[in-house]
Amino acid sequence: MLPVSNIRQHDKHIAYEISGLAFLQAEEMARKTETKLLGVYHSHPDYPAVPSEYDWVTAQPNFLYTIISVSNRKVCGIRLWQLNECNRFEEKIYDFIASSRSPASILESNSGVVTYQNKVDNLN
Amino acid sequence: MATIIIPTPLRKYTHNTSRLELSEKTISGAIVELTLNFPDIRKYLLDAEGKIAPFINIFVDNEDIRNLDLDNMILQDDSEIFIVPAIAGGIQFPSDYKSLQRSTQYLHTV
Repeated sequence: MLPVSNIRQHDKHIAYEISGLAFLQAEEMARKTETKLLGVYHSHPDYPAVPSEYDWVTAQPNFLYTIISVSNRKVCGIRLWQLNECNRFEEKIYDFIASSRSPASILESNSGVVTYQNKVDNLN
Repeated sequence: MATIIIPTPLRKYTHNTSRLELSEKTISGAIVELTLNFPDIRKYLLDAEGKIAPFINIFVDNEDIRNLDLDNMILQDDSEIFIVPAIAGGIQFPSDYKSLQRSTQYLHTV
């Protein structure tokens, strides 16, 4: 996982945006480590781990959206979503390889990009 | 020839190819050439008028050139063009969403 900054600092409690350079860094990291950039994670403060309308409007195809619901600095749920062929969000279930970052540590940065070892099932 | 790097979310539409050499000498021309060679990627890169969609950022050699004159920027043979889609979201539309729509058109309309 690569934590990246939310460039929407003025309203980071409701929205996030990752800079183009951060995205390129993630792509480069995936290339160098021979892994695959699977998607992005972000938190939903006091909101369920389901995509909002804004999440849907901004979603990219073939990209995994990990949403972490947090409340009182505690993780309440983690769910994964991806757009299907009809451009609607569909929940995805994956077996994750153990990460050095626990879900709680993700609270330190409310957004980031996610790469996993290429043994994980290909999204396509 | 300049090289265009396809972002991970869109590689499905270029037969999973991440790097492509293109013959066009301008950035706009290179994007159009890409969409002609891989028609399925067109709706993710170009708007209804055939111009580069606002939610697509363009980096050349790690420099964001999205707001520059893409029609006349000449590419060098060793230039690398990075297509960078906007990655954003959250629990609700931000207060500046309407202005974002004008400057950053997203893939789906409500």
